[in-house]
Amino acid sequence: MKNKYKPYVMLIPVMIVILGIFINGLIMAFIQSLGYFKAIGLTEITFKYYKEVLTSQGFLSSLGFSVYIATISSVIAVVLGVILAYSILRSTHRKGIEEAVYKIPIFVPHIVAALLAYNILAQSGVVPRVLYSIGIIKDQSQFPSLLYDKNGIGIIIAYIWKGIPFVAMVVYTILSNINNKLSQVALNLGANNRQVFFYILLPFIMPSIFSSFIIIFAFSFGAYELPFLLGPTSPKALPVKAYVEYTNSNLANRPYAMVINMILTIVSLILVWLYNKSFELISKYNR
Amino acid sequence: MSQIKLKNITKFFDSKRILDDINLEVKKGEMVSLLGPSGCGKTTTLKIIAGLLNPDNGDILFEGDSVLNIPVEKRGAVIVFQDYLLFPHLNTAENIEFGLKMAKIDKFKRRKRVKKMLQLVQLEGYENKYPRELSGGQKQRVALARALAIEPKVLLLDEPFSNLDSRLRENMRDFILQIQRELNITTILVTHDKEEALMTSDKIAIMLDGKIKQFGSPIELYKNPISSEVADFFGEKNYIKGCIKDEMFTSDIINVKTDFNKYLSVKAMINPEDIKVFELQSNTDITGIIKMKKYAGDRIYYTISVNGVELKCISEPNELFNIDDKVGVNINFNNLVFFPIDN
Repeated sequence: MKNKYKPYVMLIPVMIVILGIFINGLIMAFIQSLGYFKAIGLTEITFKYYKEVLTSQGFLSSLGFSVYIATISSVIAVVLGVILAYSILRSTHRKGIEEAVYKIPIFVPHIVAALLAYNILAQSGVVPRVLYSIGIIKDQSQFPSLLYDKNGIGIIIAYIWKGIPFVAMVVYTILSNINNKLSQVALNLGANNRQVFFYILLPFIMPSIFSSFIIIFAFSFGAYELPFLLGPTSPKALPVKAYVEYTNSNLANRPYAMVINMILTIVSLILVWLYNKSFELISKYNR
Repeated sequence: MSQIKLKNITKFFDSKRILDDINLEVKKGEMVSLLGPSGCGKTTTLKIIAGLLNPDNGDILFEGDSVLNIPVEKRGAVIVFQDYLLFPHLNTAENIEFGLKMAKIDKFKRRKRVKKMLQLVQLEGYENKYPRELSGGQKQRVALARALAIEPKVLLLDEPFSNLDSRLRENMRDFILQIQRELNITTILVTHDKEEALMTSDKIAIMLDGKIKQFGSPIELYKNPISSEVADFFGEKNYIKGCIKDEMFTSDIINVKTDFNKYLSVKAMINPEDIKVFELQSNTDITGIIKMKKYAGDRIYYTISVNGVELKCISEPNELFNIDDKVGVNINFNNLVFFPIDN
């Protein structure tokens, strides 16, 4: 009996932190999203705010914008990340430098990434200046405006830059652990390199491709700094919208912010569930 | 014309010479063994034939044409690896089908061929099992079926039986030999097990330190090894030092007439089964004392001391003696092999 409870007892300190701060915050947000905010005299539980938010044009376009940014940037980052991992695996010379260099973007904070994107892609940035000085464009303003535009190109590029090395790192670890002999067997049985990749390597890395997709998707869907710094005024990405509502001086707007946060939370929970499912797939092959 | 010919194959790994001037000819339908200790370059030779490695020097011919520039996936020399290496994410049928699918053979033909292969290796009903659900022997058979499915020009077997326990190993050996004969497929077997090589092969190449020391039929190699290092491969031998003069070999224990006249100082090799012990009689030529005895059921291993020279012999199970017994010794001189002694 004693032993049965021991792990739970030992988990108490960390659970106090998690339950006390994290879950408590979540519950507070949930209660406020239902319109209970005693500080300003709101005490009636209602789904009014959910209804209003979910039917408002502003919210829907923000949701669409966030889904669009997260999907496009994550898909491109995953494809390029897998290609990068495979190229490092296939390179025959010493891999030390490659293995170190490609990870650098992982350590760079998102705000610095935003600054980099600004320095390089803004109309006064490095790329337009180079294009101008070699005569490809006649004026720096001819360079398409990639930042603050409605298509979110700047945000997507910055997320891709951050995402590729992360995907490559996860996938490369799996790739380099696949028994190299399996590729040899496949070649020996008549498969060409492309077939070896699609029929042997890809099934093994698929679960990790999927889980790394979910991680970067969840991040780019829920993170606030890149769209805030590089995004257009309208539509705003969902986390930016939540922030704006939250910092609104009119406290009566608070339930709207909390509804948006709850929606972000629900989407994240679904992604976590999918993430766990992908691990069941991983263990299928490693049995 | 020979099906496979290796000409002066040399291979280095990091300036270490792994294969040194390998020459080998395998005829169509033949079963040839590469026999040698681990690290002698057998598996490297196999990988070079398959195209998984390139030689640093020399040429490989299939039916008279060089295949050096033909990549591994088009060469048609398939290896069955020691650890089977089935694809863990594919079931039995998909594993067998793999090579056919890569060759883009249509589905109907593929199914037919898989069915035939499953019959051949007696695994009907196992189509949907995954490798993790199969026993060692079953995995081995799937690996064999997968290799044979694409009708390779040559089948390369890399220590195929070493991961199986001894009874299963004998069964699989007979099984593979039977399939090899049935399909008349040119086969090269890599092994470190002399009995396996002797029992299965038309010809054996003895490999040591990256060189082929001798190549010939099992009987040739056993009866007429060209050196003691080749002879030792086939078990413990007796060596008696002596010299040859005027067509006579003389030593401490035996004097025999011989037509081998090339060297003066020699050692004579005698197989343990060519020495017999019997109960001492009054007219016995050679006598000895039993020094050691190992009873193995169907035979007995004795070590006998004859004039201070220790001889090993394998006896019938009814020739029972005890240690320190004085016995008569009979040596079959017909099978003597002489090796020169280097000074």
